[in-house]
Amino acid sequence: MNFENLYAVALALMSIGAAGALAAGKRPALSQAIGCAGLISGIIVSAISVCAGLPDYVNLFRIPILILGLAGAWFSPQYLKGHGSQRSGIYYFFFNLTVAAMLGVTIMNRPIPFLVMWEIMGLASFALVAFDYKSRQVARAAWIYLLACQAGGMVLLGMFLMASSVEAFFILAVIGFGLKIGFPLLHVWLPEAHPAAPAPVSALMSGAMIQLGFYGIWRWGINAVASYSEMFGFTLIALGIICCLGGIILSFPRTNIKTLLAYSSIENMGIISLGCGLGLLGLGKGNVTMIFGGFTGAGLHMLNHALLKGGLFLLAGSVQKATGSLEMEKMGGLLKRMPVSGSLFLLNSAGLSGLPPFNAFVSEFLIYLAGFAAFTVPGKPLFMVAGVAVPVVLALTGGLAAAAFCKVGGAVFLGEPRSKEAAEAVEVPLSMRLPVLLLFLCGCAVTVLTPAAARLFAPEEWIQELYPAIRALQMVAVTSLAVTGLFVLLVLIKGLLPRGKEIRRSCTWDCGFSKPDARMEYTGSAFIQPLVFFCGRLTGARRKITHPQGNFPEKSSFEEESADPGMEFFWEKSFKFFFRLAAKLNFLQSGYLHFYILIMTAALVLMLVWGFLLPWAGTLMKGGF
Amino acid sequence: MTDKFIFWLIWFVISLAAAPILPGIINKVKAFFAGRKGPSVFQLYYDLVKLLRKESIVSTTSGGVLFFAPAVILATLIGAALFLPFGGQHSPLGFTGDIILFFYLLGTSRVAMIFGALDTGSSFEGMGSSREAHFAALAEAAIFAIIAFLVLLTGRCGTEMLSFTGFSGSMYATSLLLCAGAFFVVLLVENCRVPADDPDTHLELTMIHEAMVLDYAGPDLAAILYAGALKLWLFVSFFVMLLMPAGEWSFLEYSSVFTAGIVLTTVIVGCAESCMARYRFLKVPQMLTGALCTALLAVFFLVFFEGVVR
Repeated sequence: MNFENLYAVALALMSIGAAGALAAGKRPALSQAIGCAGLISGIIVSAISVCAGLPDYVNLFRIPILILGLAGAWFSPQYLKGHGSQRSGIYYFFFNLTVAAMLGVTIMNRPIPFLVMWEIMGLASFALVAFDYKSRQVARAAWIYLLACQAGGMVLLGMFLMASSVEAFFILAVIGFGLKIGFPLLHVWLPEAHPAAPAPVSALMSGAMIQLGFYGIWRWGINAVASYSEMFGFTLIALGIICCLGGIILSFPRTNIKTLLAYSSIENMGIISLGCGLGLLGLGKGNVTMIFGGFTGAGLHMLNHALLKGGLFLLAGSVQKATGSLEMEKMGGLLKRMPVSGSLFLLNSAGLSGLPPFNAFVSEFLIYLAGFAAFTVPGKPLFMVAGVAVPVVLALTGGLAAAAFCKVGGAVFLGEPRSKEAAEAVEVPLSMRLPVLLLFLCGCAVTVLTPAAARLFAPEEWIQELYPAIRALQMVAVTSLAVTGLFVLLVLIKGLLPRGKEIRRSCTWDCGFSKPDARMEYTGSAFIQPLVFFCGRLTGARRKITHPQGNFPEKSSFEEESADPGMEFFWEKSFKFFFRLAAKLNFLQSGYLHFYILIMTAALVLMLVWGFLLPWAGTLMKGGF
Repeated sequence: MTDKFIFWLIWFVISLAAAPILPGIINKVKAFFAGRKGPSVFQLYYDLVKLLRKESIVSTTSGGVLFFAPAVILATLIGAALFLPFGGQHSPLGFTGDIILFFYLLGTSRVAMIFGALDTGSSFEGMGSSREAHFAALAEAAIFAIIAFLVLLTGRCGTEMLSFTGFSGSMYATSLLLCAGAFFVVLLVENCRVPADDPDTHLELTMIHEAMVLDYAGPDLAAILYAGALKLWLFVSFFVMLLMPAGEWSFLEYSSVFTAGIVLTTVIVGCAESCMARYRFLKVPQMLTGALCTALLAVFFLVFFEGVVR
């Protein structure tokens, strides 16, 4: 049986669901049912073909799409209730189309169908980003996203049509697909589009769509030309280092939950890029540990990132639903009011900082192993530099990410509520909690099942050499379980103590204040302030301080605003430059028909010279001399 | 195999049991410098026993993290302790890369501590955890530069590497010394000792770790205090193992040298604490960046002056 056909069936089911949802747009409940039915049946069919087909690295990209598509279908109805359920038809039309196109991207084997799918994916998700189009901010975000998509598509078209050498292919792929991934300077759309999009869409985009860029680089930038050089690996590592550190540092001053999560996605894409780079280097040297650690680590991190970040974006949606805002400084104490969502958020954020016993540790661990294995390559100074840089950068990123996530978790879920909305928040309905819980449990399963999967899928001739790495994975799984068990045991032991079960409730001790309130507690911005200060201008935070002056100071003020430095110092400046340049060319638009015809004729002549005369002259030269 | 396992196990149990002595030693040294008699070396044991008999007090602000955090902290630290090569023997659980897991488990305990602190909504604890998060990120970078150095030095990638290093007048001495210096700085910062933090001030805005544990009481506080002592023990052991020469040791020889090393290192920490003032907070990140650079310098020395990997 040909499993490619099954994918076609899945795409068809999703598209039928999309069309049906749009057609039934007048009746939201019906279109919701049709859309979900189409999406879920499509996902089930493609899940069957993923399971039944041959093991293939592409499945690493398909699984997050399927899981997050399913979670989104489950989460959306309750999420849309109240602010967008009248437009369910449009929503499900584009949501189904996005999922189908993403799946299509991983299926298409020829450049033009691939590009078509890629463009549909971009446009359909653009429509979803613009779902709340009446808000100014959303419109701006959608516009930036559209520009990024189109620019990426243009570069990719250039790659397929014009690239002549392996290097050109790679560079254009890195730029074109990097626009999706969020490589440095190409990342500016992410922190705009993710907060603007509805939560399930952000989860789908952040967890599954942006990493399709890596699929693209691998499939079309490297594999299609079947050749690579060491420089590719080093390029990916260098980009990964900038992405990791830059992404997490830029996330510090943000106070919108989803913006912060979007920057953290950039950081995680950096980690994946480090893994891919090390894997490529290993491929060049035939170093099995580096290949395994790098590529498996990167692939696994995609899955882990999809599960954890997808969960976090959905939870951000729950918080938005419960409090009506995404501004973390207005929240606080939500853990008490939303116990399930709150604990899942804290667990997911600890997980995404790469801490054991959660799943992201496993993938980071593999990348560390690959990094340390780069040391053992003799006589290669650059390998050694990579071997030192990758672990140090990963460790620093892990620590900084932990700080950023402690900031979000602390500001949103812990302490006392800082606004009326937060104080009155109630837990979201079950159908918004359950998908997130399942994503988290899938993550736990990843920790436990990775060793078995590695043993199963590793090529037979490598098993010998990979024995230490696979044993390490087993031990990581065992230790994770053991530590969790120890934790449970300690909680039980505490109950056995003489007065272990007695718990006295009392207010927080605050140095003599009888009733500490929310105004006294640390805000998220205060929490992260030392790091923002340490990183200086890199964070893009700028502050205006009016110090109190004179003997009877009247006013003092403090303002802090943060813009993305890439946007501010690169894109806005370059756009302004091109506007000025374009203004100088205004004379071409003179309004005389004769002039336009002259320009067209000149262009035609030039093209004739380029297309016919130059090659002809070339052959003449060759023949002549 | 069984002998080795028993030696390791003996030292593992000793470590868990003897960890609370270290803060006692430090306090004794500090008392000596101040011309006081000071509390007994075993003071922490008395405190722990007393605390274990009391009830817990949980803040009304808390959403539950405060209740679970001490168990997470203790579980991860004990889990981390399983991987150190105690008694000169590789840990029976050891594997390639376990050193990464070791330090990441310490990271988990830190995040649990921070979430626990923020759960109280106290401004002191917010302040302490904010600083902790900042310093820890930089300390992790320094630690992994040190690990990179050790991987380069020993060609191994697990805690077993510690049995192959050693300050024995080898040609690697200079770089190892630099690396040990860097690790000592990390030890001071991670364990909240002067000059990074002052464990004595309970009521100042200058503190980090002590501020984060203000709202624990009874058995919870006991777990936190014990975890602090255990963490100090783990770092001091790591430091001693780093410097102990490789070679064939009998169990008794190893045990006596290791014990002497632990006591000596703790006394040095105590001396540093008695003779120095705490740095301003802006200085601590510089200190950690310095440690990172020192460790990178050690790698550089190893590669360019001592030749290639062993």
